[in-house]
Amino acid sequence: MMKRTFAFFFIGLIGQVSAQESLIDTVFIDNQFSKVSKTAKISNLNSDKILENSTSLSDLLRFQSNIYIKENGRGATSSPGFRGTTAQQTAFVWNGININSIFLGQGDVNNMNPLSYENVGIKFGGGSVIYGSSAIGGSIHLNNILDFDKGFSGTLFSEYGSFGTSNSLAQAKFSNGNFSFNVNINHSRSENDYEVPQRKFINRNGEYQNTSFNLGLAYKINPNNEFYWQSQLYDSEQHYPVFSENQTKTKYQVQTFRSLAGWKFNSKSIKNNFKLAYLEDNFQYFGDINKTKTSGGTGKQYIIKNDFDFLVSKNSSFNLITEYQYNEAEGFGSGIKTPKRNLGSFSLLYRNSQSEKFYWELGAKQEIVEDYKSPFLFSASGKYTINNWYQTTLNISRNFRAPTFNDLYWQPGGNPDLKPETSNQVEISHNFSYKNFTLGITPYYMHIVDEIVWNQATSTIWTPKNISKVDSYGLEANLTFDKNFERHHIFSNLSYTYSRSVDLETKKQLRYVPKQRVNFNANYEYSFIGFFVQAFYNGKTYTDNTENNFVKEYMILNLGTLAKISSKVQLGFKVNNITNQIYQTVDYYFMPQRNYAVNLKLNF
Amino acid sequence: MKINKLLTGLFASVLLTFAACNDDDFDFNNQETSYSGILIANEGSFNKPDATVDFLSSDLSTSQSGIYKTVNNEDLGDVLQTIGFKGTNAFLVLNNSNKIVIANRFNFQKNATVTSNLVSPRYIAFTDSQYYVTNNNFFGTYKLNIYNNADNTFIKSINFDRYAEKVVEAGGNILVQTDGSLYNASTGTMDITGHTITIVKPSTNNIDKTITLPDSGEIKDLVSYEGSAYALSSTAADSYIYKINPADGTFSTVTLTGIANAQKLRIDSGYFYFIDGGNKVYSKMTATSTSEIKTLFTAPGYGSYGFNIIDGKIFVSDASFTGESTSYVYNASTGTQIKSFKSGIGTNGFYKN
Repeated sequence: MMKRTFAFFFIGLIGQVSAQESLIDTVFIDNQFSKVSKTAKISNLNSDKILENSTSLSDLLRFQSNIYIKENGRGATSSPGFRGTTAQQTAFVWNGININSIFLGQGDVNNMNPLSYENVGIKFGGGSVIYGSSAIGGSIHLNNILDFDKGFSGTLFSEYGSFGTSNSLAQAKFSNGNFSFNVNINHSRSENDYEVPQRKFINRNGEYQNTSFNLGLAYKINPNNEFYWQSQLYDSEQHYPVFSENQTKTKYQVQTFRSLAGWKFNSKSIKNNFKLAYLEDNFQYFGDINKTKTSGGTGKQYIIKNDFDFLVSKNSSFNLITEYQYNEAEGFGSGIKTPKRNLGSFSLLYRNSQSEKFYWELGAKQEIVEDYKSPFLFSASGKYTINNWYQTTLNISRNFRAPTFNDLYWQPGGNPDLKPETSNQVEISHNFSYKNFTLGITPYYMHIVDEIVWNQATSTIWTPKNISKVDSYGLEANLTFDKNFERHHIFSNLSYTYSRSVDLETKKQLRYVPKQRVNFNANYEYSFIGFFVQAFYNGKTYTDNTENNFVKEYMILNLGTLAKISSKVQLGFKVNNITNQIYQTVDYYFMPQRNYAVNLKLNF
Repeated sequence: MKINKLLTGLFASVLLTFAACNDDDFDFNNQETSYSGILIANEGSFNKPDATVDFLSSDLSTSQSGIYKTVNNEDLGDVLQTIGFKGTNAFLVLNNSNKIVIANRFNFQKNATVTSNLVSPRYIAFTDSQYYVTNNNFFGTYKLNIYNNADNTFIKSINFDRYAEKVVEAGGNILVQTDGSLYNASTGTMDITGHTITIVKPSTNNIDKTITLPDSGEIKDLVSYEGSAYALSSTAADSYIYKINPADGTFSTVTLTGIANAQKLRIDSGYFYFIDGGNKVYSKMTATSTSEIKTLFTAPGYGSYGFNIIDGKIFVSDASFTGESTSYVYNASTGTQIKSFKSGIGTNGFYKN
């Protein structure tokens, strides 16, 4: 099979691999995303980049961003560490709606298939004023696109990889002047039975599969009024790896339904976006794969959100975002019965671009919740374009992470008196451009108080308390090179991250925060053929809070090639972990060594 | 994780083994190596094979961490629940790995691994020819497995209705704690299942008698001392120690008036030692039921996950599951602290070796 696929590459090939998509033309359902892009550091991964790491969102973020992904073995439970913060301090945002679990307060990275999206945006730094709880270290934006006047396009993508892995996607889009339609179905599965013989490691019971169905519709009644609707249905089963043959095998199932519908109204001075959203998460854990579920839950969120943008003048605007949410949940095997809560919030932002060189905005937010007292939040951002090769941005904000239903209501142990975690933070970006190079340097600092930590209260009961204070600070540097000449196109990005997250009591680095990380991504395209390199170096990473145990530093290298056989057919081949590195992102859970994938993409 | 409601190691079998050892005249100082002294069990974090065993010399002066991995060059397993001793062997019961690793107790070289019919093994006890392992997954499986000492073959299981936790050998019989508390998924509370201790006769390997303790509390511990079994049961107001005659199941009661939620019981040199719900450690003479209860000290940290008395010293651990635990040593008669030291992840037991 592999040999035959190789042969394909040398059959006459024509065509040009598409270049980076321009963000400006893209119509995101999340109308704030382009606004926050003005001052925030954002990295956008479009469809082509997503397909380079089609296996999972964990792989995509690990190889194409500097976020630390803790994965209990490939495809299993996975959580992010963004700028040295905890998993609960990273927000996952689906088309503008925060979708972190109301039970866990974090996103389950391997239960968000990136094939469902045409854009994965990574926004660095605080964003609670707009994106709510957990937007502290940063936020990850899963965006669908509903655009107009693009006609019909379809994509079929299928990838087969080592360890019985397949990732498939079928997408069809149609749009004319007033109607837009986007349907996407994807399915990923893997036997995932990889071995690391040097460590006597077998990823036993590691299989997983998931299926997503996404449907988007938009209709413009007239130039001023547009209705849109985007929904997602997701179903998954992950088995959790066990370390020995005799260990009881466990599994986890998730069913998710998300739907949002909205009405956009545009006039000369008013842009209003009214949305209704419904989010439902169901999950079941099976302590023994052959028995009935041991625990689980259902969370439902009903959301009404209005985004009113009033243009005072051509260059200044007030933006009032009001939101009401009703959350309800039902736990099983957690002592969480049927908690409910109402919450409302008001955000007011003022944006000013009167000066050509200086853009600034101010924001404030207050949330009113039944269960806990939410802090007053603010943001202040400015971008100063000093000359044609240097600009600088400043972001100051206060952000929060709300206590979750588990934190508050888990029985026994839940603590109804918890406060939210609060973070005061600042970052300054310096961006230089020279010819085909751009250089960004961003130091950041966060002071996080009232961090919620679960500790043992008695010999049998664990309870969460607002105890930790953490300082997270660091430096991010990015160097990109982008050049087209004749039929060649080169794009490369080198990024370096230094991050410290220090528990102010113990003065130790938080666990799973690598101090140093380097990512290198490069794409080279010539005519019909393209190559890409993904490499990252992850420094020594402590796995406990006492700086005693750690996973060693490692460098992982992936190489891929793709070829357009015709304007409609593209073939790809990829070697992951080409140097056969032995590595772990969570101690004891080894990741796969060298492995392969072939894919076929059809466009019509 | 509810598994973190795991309790301490089996003390009685250790004592018993020592009684046996003395008869068999083992010379601890004449072994080739080295780990004669105190063994510390660190259960590790749940769902990771990071359980370890630390060694501490009897005079507390030298220590070595992670001795199993050092000797055998492999991870021990996932959740080291307890260590039992028989002859020259240590039986390392690994709850979430569903296995028992048998290693030489002095040089720690692995001799065998037992996996047959194990489902969340908890505690272990020995007779001359057999060993008895409780299995309790707090979710439907509550049984006592019986194995042949000579070749580790599985003999049979005895199923219980509600629980199978501590197991001890006393006076030639096997006693099993067959009640405790279970998590009630619909109410989110820990519900007491009942008040029974079950006697199993090794000659037939059948249930001989079921004893129902008369208090309304929860059975928290079961130990063996000088041929009798002692059960600890406690309520939010008072606690009770029952001295059980293993031959006929009759018992006498010592009421620990005003001691709330006592959680652990050890017996050494004629004294009971126990901890209450507030982590206060007490001693009381075993001989007279009216003897005074002496408050020794309050264990530091979140609790005393591991607790034992070795050579007149009390060992307690403040277990951490995210990093090193801290263990403390106290003088058993005065309650003054002698030493504190770092131990592995989730320290849950101290054993004389």
